Amino acid sequence: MSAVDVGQLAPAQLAAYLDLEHEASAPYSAYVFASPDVAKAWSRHQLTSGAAEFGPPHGRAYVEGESVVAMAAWLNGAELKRLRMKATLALLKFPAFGEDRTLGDRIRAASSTLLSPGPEDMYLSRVAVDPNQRGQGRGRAILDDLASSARSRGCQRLLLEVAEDRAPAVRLYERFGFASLGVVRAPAQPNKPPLAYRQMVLVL
Amino acid sequence: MKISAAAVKAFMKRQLATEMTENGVTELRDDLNLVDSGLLDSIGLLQLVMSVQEEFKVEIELGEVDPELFTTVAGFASIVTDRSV
Repeated sequence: MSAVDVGQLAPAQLAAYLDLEHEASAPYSAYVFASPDVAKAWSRHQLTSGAAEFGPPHGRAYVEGESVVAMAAWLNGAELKRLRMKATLALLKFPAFGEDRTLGDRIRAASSTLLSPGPEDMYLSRVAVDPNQRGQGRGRAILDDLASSARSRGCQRLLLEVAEDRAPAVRLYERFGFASLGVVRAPAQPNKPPLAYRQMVLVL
Repeated sequence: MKISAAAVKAFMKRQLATEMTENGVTELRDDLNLVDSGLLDSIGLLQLVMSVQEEFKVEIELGEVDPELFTTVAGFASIVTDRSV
């Protein structure tokens, strides 16, 4: 399994990468967006606007042969702040934002569950392993890769949010040494599933 | 109805009162950068856009507008006044 920057992927690989990104952000997307199609359109829109936390150079595909078997995206707190501002500007140009007056309300509500990492922190924005590739230690290998990248960049901590109901992922992080900072729940929204994130930290 | 830039700025000042106090900003000068000064983060900007649309009954759709305009006081006000007739 080798790491490839998302900017270097062939079109079919990029499609597989985006499917995994969609999987990684599914709990957030189900809470915020009207449908999975809108969520996918938003991912594409962020990518083409240069506003994606999972775009180059922050997104990394893990490739075996030609197949993308996993993805991860991480960035420091300063980069995250800059990209979130860019994403808000991109949101104002996103057609669904003009058509659905409640979308902005849900994005604001969901933001209460998200961490605000500092410039010294490395933030793990997305991580997903292909469902057919699980149980082979790939998650652990990705975390090893991330932790060593973060250390070599002089970061003090690795931070992440994981959906509270994703028990296997929570266990993976705990075994790796992450400590829980607590669970944050977004306010309930009509006709939307609840959103609860466990915030976690690893001191490097 | 034509909306004046002064009306938009007065509204911004009310909306951002807490952030202004926290960041030691006393006046919303035209060239003040709302982001660099710490008054707005990404969600704050989203909130301001949504509340200004509500207040002035305008639809802000960027189209060809440079999104960076949103980050200064004068730029933000001009986007709202340009949408009114």
